[in-house]
Amino acid sequence: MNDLIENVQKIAPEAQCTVKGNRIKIVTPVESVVKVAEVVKEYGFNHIESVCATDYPTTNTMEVLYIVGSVEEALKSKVVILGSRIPRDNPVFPTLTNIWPGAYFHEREEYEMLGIRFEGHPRLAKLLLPDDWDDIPPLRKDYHLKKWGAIERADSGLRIERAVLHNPPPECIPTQSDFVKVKTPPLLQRFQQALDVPEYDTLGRQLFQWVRRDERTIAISFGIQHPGSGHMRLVLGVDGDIITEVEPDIGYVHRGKEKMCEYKNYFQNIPLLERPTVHDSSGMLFPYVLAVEDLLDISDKVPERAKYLRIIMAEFNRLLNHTYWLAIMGIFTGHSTMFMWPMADRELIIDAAQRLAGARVTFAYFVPGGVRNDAPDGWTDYVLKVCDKFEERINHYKEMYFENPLFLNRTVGVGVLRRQDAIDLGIVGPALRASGVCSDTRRDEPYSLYDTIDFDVPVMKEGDSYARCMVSYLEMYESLKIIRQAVKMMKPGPVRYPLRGRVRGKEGEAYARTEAARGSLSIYILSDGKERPYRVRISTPSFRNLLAGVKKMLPGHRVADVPVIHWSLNYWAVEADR
Amino acid sequence: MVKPVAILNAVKSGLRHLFYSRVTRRYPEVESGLPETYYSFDPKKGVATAGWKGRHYLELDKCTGCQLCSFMCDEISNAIVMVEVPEVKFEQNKKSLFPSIDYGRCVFCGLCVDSCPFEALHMTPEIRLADYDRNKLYYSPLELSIPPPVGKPSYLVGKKKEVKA
Repeated sequence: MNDLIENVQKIAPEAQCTVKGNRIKIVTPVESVVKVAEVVKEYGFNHIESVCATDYPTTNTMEVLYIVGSVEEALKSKVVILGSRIPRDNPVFPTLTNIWPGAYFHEREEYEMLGIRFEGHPRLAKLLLPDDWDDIPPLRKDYHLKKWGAIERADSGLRIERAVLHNPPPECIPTQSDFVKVKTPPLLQRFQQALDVPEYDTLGRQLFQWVRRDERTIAISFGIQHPGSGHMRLVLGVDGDIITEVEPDIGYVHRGKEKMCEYKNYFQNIPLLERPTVHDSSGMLFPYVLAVEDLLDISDKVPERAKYLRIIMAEFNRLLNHTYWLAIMGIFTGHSTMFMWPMADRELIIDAAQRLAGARVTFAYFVPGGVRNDAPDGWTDYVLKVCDKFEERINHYKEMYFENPLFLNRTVGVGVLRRQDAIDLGIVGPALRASGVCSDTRRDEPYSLYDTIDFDVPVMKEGDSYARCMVSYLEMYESLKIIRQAVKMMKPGPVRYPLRGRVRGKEGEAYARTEAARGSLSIYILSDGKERPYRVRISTPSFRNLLAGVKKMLPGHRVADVPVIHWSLNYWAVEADR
Repeated sequence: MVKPVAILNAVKSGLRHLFYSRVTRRYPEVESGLPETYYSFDPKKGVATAGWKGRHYLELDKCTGCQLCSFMCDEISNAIVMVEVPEVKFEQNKKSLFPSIDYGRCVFCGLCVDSCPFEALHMTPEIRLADYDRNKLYYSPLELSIPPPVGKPSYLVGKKKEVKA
């Protein structure tokens, strides 16, 4: 690591480098960011994880951080956080998409969320916000979320009456018009004047114009009502039925989780953060609790039993996610049996998880400091039984589906993603491993006692839809292996380090990444010493995998292949939009 | 790689499943069969006991009206509103302030149970809360204090509780 810091300081003497564990933070003036980024890339940090910008109105600056990992064997556990401060009045930053092409959508998101103009970015435009968004960029600190405060209180008053009276008059129910009244006046003009971006609100109209059309090609809309697209739309340029160009239109289920997190304390964020991916709810919470524990300085106080329970729950969620994904994959390839079987078999796992966490889908089981409750009596034996039964069930999938020519004909050689493309575009999870890169955060940077467990990471070289499906399928066996070991290694003991009083994070930042079901999921939390985080940046695997689908995999294929390619990436719109 | 004959294996596998017992059950006549325990939180140990996270059960004689559950819920789903129930008088709750819960908003995370320092709130196995009338989803403290027909908190097994109302 020292040679990287030396190289950086040779090229930019004013850069400040700090090393904390596996995290190397480099803060440099904005003029030398590109040069430093080239040095970091050459050193081997080739896998972009996140771009996080933060607004500091008190010092009138904004901070842009590029969080970069690596798929090189020696650097897998390291993360470089490269950043710079820019003035808030004129937020201009040189784009780094030339160095890390995977930053394309991250930069676009930070552009619309904070109004930072990335100079040289191929297409700066709105991504997640609605087309008619008429306010300042929402992640700026002078945009306030609680516009409905008055309504909420009035509503509470009505609810009190109703709860006491038992027979409320029907006119107590607030009507829709009550909510419309408090909308703030449009600030779009102010935004445009301040930032000189006239095209900011015209994504919907531009999207079709972006797709090149001539006498042979036309642009068609795939989604949002198409069952194969999820809550997203792909604007496809097609020549006959061969796809020539793709523009994604996402954000239909965007809720602004990053902004909402700033208004809740560290515990209240738990039910919120697991919502984007209900099949993988504990996997979504995993990096969050790790980062919060880092901020609260209690990472070493989490009991061992809690860590094993977390592993079991995270692997349960991986199984739940993969079975759900497999079921929908069955539907997309016209195979109804493969829809029915995984849907029935995941009930086994749901029952086991419900005995532990009390809920079927959104468990809210992880908390900073451990887990919420211990396993009930006899639960470990039950889990071992469930694992055996589940393994017997998924054995059947092989001859029914994975060796079935109906499935093979649809997927083999379809949607090939080459190894180098996958790395450049920052692809994660089964999609990356199916392209021949052995990258699994559970092994690269073991967290929460994953290093005590023996498991394999399935990797395939083909990079087509079949390889992605097969990697996910083989991962289910590994998950079962992990669960069995964790259940056996778990010793009786405490499961939670109790946090009392008001929980305040220390001033500073924490970055945690884990392997969620769809791939590496990372959460960056910035705390200013208060009860609530100052900034939360969630970089989800679906969001990071989107670019591959639209830029590298779809063009050249037929429209009929879109659902298969799209779903083999395991793209979950809610997780991507957050 | 693609062997057309392999489709016969798939058919064989499907035929074999004709003789498997069926995995569905006749809900709601047949219940899930999971243990019917409450989700409760022990504030002294700081750990909860595993159980269903369904409708809440409020012990009126333990609730002090401290509003901690309401504060916790405010930013999560804003389902809990403290209400005054003058007809219920208890030593520890002079103002007769108790939580009422709107199940149209509740997300069943159970963090209100974790935040109660007096072990007054529990969650029960009663999960069939749907109703045609939206107003019936507002549960007053008195309704919450009626334990559901199924299940018991682990420490209450064998005891009888009297609820003054």
